[in-house]
Amino acid sequence: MALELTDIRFAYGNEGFQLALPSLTIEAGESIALVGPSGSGKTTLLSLIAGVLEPDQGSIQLEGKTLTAMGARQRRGQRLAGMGMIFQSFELLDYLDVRDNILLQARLAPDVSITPELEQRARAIAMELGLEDKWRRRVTALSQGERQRVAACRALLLDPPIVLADEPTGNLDPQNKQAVLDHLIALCHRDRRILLTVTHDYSLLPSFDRVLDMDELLASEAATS
Amino acid sequence: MQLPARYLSFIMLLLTVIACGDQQAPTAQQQAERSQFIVAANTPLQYFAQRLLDGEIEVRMLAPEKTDPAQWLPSVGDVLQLQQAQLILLNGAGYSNWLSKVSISDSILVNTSSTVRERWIELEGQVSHSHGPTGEHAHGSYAYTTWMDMSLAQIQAKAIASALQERWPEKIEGIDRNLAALLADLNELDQGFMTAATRLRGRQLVYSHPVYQYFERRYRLPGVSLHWEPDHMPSEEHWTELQGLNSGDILFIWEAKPAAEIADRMRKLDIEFVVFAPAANQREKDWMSVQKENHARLSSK
Amino acid sequence: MTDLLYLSLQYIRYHRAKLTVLTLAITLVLWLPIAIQSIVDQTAAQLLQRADNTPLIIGAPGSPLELSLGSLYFRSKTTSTLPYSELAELNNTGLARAIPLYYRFRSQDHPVVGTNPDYFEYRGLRITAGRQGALLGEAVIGAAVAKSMGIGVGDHVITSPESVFDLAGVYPLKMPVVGVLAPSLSPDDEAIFVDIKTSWVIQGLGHGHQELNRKEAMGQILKREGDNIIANASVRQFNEITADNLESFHFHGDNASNPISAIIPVPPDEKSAALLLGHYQEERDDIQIVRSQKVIGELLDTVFTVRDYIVVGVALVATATAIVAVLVFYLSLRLRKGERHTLSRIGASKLQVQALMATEIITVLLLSALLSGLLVVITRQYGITLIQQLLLN
Repeated sequence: MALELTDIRFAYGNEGFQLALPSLTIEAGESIALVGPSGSGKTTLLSLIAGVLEPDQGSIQLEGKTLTAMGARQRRGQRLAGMGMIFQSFELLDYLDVRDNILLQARLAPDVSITPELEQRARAIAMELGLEDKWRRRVTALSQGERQRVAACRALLLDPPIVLADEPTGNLDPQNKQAVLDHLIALCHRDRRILLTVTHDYSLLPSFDRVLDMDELLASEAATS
Repeated sequence: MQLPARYLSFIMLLLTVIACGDQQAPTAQQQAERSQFIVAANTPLQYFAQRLLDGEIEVRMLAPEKTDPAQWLPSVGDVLQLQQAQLILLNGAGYSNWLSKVSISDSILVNTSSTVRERWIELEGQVSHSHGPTGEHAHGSYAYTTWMDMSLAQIQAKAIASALQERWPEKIEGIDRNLAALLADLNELDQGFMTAATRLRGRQLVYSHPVYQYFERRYRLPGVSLHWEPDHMPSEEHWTELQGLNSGDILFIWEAKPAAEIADRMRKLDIEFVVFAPAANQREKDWMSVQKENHARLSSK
Repeated sequence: MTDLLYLSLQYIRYHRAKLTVLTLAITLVLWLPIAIQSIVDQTAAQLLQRADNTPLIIGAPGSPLELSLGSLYFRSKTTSTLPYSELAELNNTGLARAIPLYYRFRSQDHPVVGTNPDYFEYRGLRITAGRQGALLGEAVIGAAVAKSMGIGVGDHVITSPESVFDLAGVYPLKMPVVGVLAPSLSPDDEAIFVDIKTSWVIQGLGHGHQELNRKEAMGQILKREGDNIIANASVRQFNEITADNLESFHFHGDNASNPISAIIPVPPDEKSAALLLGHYQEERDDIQIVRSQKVIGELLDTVFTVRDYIVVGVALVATATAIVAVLVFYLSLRLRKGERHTLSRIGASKLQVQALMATEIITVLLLSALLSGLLVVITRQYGITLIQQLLLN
């Protein structure tokens, strides 16, 4: 009952891509891989859950809060403080060091302040992800795998119930891929977080609890209608 | 080490600039309160100025006692004092030779005889000679004891009066009054000298020093000028020179009372003498009394 | 807010080299036109103040500008002179107090100005060390002279020969420094002051001899004719006036015919000044009286024109710099496109992103404005002094 999407409909403008999802439920602690061909709406779905996009109809509930009932501002607050996000391109800022990149999302969140406790927590997560000796390094000096771990730290910092990851291993070499993903899944399992990952990499699918095929999700819609 | 030093000098510079802004020139009042005084080159000028000012402003004479003010060379301290004077009364005719060796503003100089430049007596050739304790010195190209001619003395007194009146316009009336009295006194002296002089016509006059040129001219008493010091026994050659003067009827005119031995020798030689003091540097008595005594002595001859 | 500032600070730290260069460039173009204007204006004000304090100058006929520059700032190459008798003549008119100036000679780079104590009173010059010049041959030096030559009371200054081949026999004169003037922030700081008669000694119009009756001089005496002593030409000309030889110094001829460069008349009131002007303008062809405010004003008009050209030039440079700065900001914003994208993907609001982008520009502009403002204040306050100081060192 952690994340529940019901009767979601979304279209970009009047024409073009349309998305219709009758229902999707993900339990806490579940790690999900979202697969499907390009243009099948994986990223759109992720954006709807993240609140970057607003569905034309339907509701999204996270831990009992109805995200679709929130205003834009509230949604942004929810995204910043209550969701972890990991991107294929890491989305780190070159002029910040590891520490400040990890704390970046917290700094931007409206109701979060950077306390020594928070910094302690950031350090602990960094340690878990093997970054303890890089703490004050500039991210430009890190390897790709290390960078994505920094991004993962940032996503986990505020203890979100859900982590949304869009091709998180797309820029990593095979060994790093598996290692980063295993780390991430292990941490989410331990803390009972949802990990919703969009991926094209079928070799990684066995690591996930569940694999959702976009076509199947939308097909169920076609079937019901 | 160099950098702090530079900063320090920069700060010092700023402080200097700031400090400069605060400086204030002494106010006019402060300047006025500073004691005013004038300086005279010799006793006659000092006396004239004192008579004219009636003691309202100090009239100093800086040349030390018993020296010839004409040959005086002021010390640095003297010059700094002269620079502070409201006016410096000069005799003119090249009297104050020291002027060319010191730094003093022209605007405070008053040349009391410059208006009668044509009456200055030019000396024939410049003679350099040595005598007495002051050592070698040279006289200027003009005879400078102008005040020995009481008509010139009156002109000098008038020149002082107008300089004082220009400097202190508030004292014009008083100075005018005092000037009239002074001129009357000087005129009386002039007449007295004239009268005395008529009785001396035809006598061989011998002057102890060449400082009587104006006296000789004004009162028509030409004579021979020597270089005899009243306190210094002349040499035998000098005595011979004196006796060699062809007229027997000599009247020897001394600047100051001769030493007893000289006076005795003169009496023995039957040379009559009289003291007639120019009183260029006179301290014990006032200048007018000295002149009156001169007159009395001269009249008795 | 503090978080955004923190992030901006990190950005600025990371790009400090680029931003410093940009800030300095903008600072300079903001400051330069104002500085040039301000320094020219200050100089002009100083020049004019000197002219205002010295409204009238009397000198030999010729260029009024040369006469004014010479008499006010001791910068003149002309050697035209007046006879000293003009001083007495002016004093005798009763229309003004006359102060002589003779600024023909130099000691190294400093003018040696012959005058009299009235000048110091007239200019309000104060002695900080030593005393006023009293005797022939003594020098009182300006504050800048003391500083640049590193000399003070007890040291000496030596006049420079007018030319290496000056065979006419103008011997350099060694003069003791007896006083140092307090800084007056005027050309007087740069000058060496001597009595007017000392400058005639420098010129060779007055001199001293060894005492010819002294034993050392015996070898130089050709014959004695009574009191008259004839010496050979090896008799040393004193190149220094000391307490021992002061008495032997004398001037050949009448001081009245000795030269001076100019006379500063100090009329007691406006009426006397007008009469004086009339007297010299109408009755004298062999002498000129100039109104220095007018002369210096005309000079400054030229200076202002030149300044305007310079300011226009600098303004063009400033425009170019502004365009370059806009380009730099534009390029920078483009380079930060990825950053903006990242920020908005993480969840930063538009306002937060814009604020972060703006801080770069605002910081640079603010810093430049502050720096140039500070520089302007310093320039206004101390510009002239600092430049004078720089020129000195």
